[in-house]
This record gives sequence, structure tokens and C-alpha cells, in this order.
Amino acid sequence: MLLKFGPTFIWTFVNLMLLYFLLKKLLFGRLTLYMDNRTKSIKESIDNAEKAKADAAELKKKYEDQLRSAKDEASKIIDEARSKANKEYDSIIADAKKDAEGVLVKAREEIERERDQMLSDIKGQVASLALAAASKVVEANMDTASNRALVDKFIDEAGAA
Amino acid sequence: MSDLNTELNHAMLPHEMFSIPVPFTDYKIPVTDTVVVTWIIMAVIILFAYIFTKKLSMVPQGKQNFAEVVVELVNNLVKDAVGHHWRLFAPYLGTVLLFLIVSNIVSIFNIIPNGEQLHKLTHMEIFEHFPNFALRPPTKDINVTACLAIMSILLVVIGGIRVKRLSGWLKHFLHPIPVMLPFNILDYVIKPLSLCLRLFGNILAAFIIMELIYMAFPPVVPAAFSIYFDLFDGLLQAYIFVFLTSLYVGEVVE
Amino acid sequence: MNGLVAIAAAIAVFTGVGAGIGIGIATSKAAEGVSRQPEAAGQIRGITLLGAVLAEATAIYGLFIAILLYLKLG
Repeated sequence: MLLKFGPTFIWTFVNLMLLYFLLKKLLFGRLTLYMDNRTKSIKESIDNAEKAKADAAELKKKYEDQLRSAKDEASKIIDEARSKANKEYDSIIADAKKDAEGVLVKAREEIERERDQMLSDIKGQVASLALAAASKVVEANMDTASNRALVDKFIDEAGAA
Repeated sequence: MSDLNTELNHAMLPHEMFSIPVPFTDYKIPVTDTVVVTWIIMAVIILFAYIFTKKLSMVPQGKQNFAEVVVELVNNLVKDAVGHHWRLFAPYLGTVLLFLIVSNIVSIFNIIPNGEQLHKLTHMEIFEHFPNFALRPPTKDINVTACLAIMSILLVVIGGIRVKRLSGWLKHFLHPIPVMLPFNILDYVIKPLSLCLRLFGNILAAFIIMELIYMAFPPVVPAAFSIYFDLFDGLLQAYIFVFLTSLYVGEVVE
Repeated sequence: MNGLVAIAAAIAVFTGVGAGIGIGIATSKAAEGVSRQPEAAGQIRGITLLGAVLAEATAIYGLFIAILLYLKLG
């Protein structure tokens, strides 16, 4: 009969159960576990890569900052050195100028003094000469103090003229 | 006419091939050709499952890819219908899917004529001694489909109790209103009945049509029809059976 | 008597007409739905399959009755 239920029913149940346990062990359970593990490991590695990327970016930023600050520092140092050098240069030049001026002034003073000295010497000699000449001329006692003053006055007037 | 009738009857009905005696009793457990074909199918499925998953590696290649595609397909099918608790049900539904796919399309191998048909065609003596065994789909036997349907409804019951606990499961009989109680109980009778009869009727009808075509136009013409009646219909029915079962499970579990 | 039973079986198989019309309507509506909203194709496929399967059940019951009657013919 087409619709007779019999031992085939029980057989099918047993067979299916057997097939279920075998396939669960062999195919579905194992492969699902494998695929889950793979999904997990891929996710982990992607996460790790993202983290590494973020770390690298952070490091890069840090290095760039450091580089920039180092550059700033360097330019600052150079500027400072330059300004210092300029100042030094200026001061050296100024000192030299001052020294030169001092030397010049001294030289001028020396010259002046020498000239004065010479002038006064010459004046004295001229006075003596004049006196000698005058006494010779006058033959009188011109060697007194009043006469000498008179002569000096004369010479001064002559020198001034 | 009666010749055709007996031949069709012979093809449609399961035959006892041998019987296993139960020790210490007179009773013998008969084994029909349905069971023998089931065993062959199981052996093939297990053999393929073994070959395809012999060497598993984290980076899939070759055979493992194919096995993973099959498993992924089943997992996605169950995930879509059942949702969160798919892990509980995927192995069983996958087993049923594989079993039904192979058993529904197994009669495609009948294109290769068996001993009796060859003898009839060629009248050569040697073919008389060939085994007269045809691979007929086990699902054309109502015992198999009834067993599958009852196991499906058992899966719904057991899964429902396991996921929702007994009280939660019992409560769903009163859903959405308590008046629905008798209909909800009736559901548990109608669902397996329709599952069983749908599979049985479809496969048997396709099988009968194919048998008639085999009788009317041997040997070449049936090949074309076989693609629709054996392959397409068989695959569709296998998918529908598993789809509906997962839908029933999803209804209770969600 | 046998002839009458055979006719009864043939009439029982006639339920297939209803199922055919039903599945046809379901599929045409599904095609319309998919062409209108291609992104909902997955959902529509599931619903169509469910509808087609439920419609088909009537044909299967008819076939089942026909087979029972055929078996009565013997």
C-alpha cells in the first residue's frame, strides 16, 4: 500500500539522527566554528592595523612637532647669535672710533702744547734778545724789573699783531 | 492497461528488499528499498562531507571553499528566518536540506537504464543478470516525509521550549488573544501534515510523471524532462521544506 | 463503479487549476513589486514563495485525494 506506515518510519528517524550527528560533527559545527574564528581573527587584525595606524600617525605628529620646535630653536639661536655679533661689531667699531678720536685729540693737544711751549720759549728768547739789543742800544740799566715788564708787553703786542 | 498499472504500482510502492531478524524473537525488521536508498544517500553525503573537510586551514582553498559556501548558505538561510538563535537550528536544518536535495534529485540517475530496462530494450542475455535496482527518491515514500515533518515539528517544540523556557512557550499558545488557543494547538497538527503531504505529493507526482515518460518514450526524451521534474522540482521542494521549517521555528523563537 | 471512481480522481486532480491561478497571480504581483522596488527583492521573494507554497498545498491535497481514489481502484 502506498500510505502504509511501517518500520520505514523508524528507520528514517534513526537514519536522520545518525546523519544529523555525523554532519554536525563533520561539517556544520566544525566549519561554523572555523568561520567564526576566522571572522574574529580578521576583525582583530583589522583592529590592530587601525591601532598601529593611529599610533604611527600620533608618532608622526609628535616627530613633526619636535622637528618644528627644533627648527624654531635653531633659527632663534641663529638670530640671537647674529644680533649678538652685530652688537659686538658695533661696540668694537665704536671703541675703535673712540680710541682713534682719543689718539687724535691727544695728538692735537700735544701739538698744541708743543707749539705753546715753543711759542713761550721763542717769546722768552725774543724778549731776552730784545732786552739785550735794547740795553746795547740804550746802554742804560734796562735790566730792571720794570723795564723787563715793558719789553714783555711790547712783545706780547707784537706777537698779537 | 493493466500491464501499465502494475508497472506503475511497482515503481510507486516501496518493496521489501531484505529483513533483519531481531534476536530472541520471531520478529524480523523489514528493510525496504526506500531505506536502502537512504543509506546510499547518507553514505554519499558523509563521504563528501569527509572529503571536503579533511584538511581545514584558516585560509580556505579548493574544496574547503565549496564546503564553506554550503555551510554559509545554510547559516544565512536559518539566520534570516530564525534570527538570533540560529546556531541551535542551523546544523539540523542543514542536514535536512542536504538530505532532501540529494534524495529529491536522486532519480535523475534513472536516466541510466537498469538491468531490466536494458534487457527489455536490447533483448540481450547478459542484462538479465544485472541487478534490477532503481534509485527512486526516498521522499516518495510517505513514511520518510511523515518522519521528516514530525521531526520538524519536534524541532519547533524543542527549540521553542529551549529558547523561551516552558512557561514562555506555553504562553505563546494564548498569543495574540486567548481565544486563539484551539487554533494555535491545531497549528501543531496542520503544519507537519501540510509539510509531509507537500513534499510527498510533489515528489510522488513528479516521479509518476517521469515514470510515465520513461514508459512512453525510452531512452533519450526523458533526459530533457528529467531536468525539470527531477532536478528543478526536487531542489525547489527541498528548499521549501527547509524554508518553511525555519519559518515555523522563527515564529515560535522570535 | 470503477469508472466513476476514476472520474472522481480526475475531478480531484482538477484542484490544480486553482493552485495554478493562485501561484500565477502571486508571481505576477511579485514581479510588479520587484520592478517597482528592486531593493525589496529579497523580502518579496520570501513572501512570494510562502504564498505560492500555500496555494500549492490545495493542489497537493487534490492530488492526494486522487491518489487515494486511484489506490481504491486497485
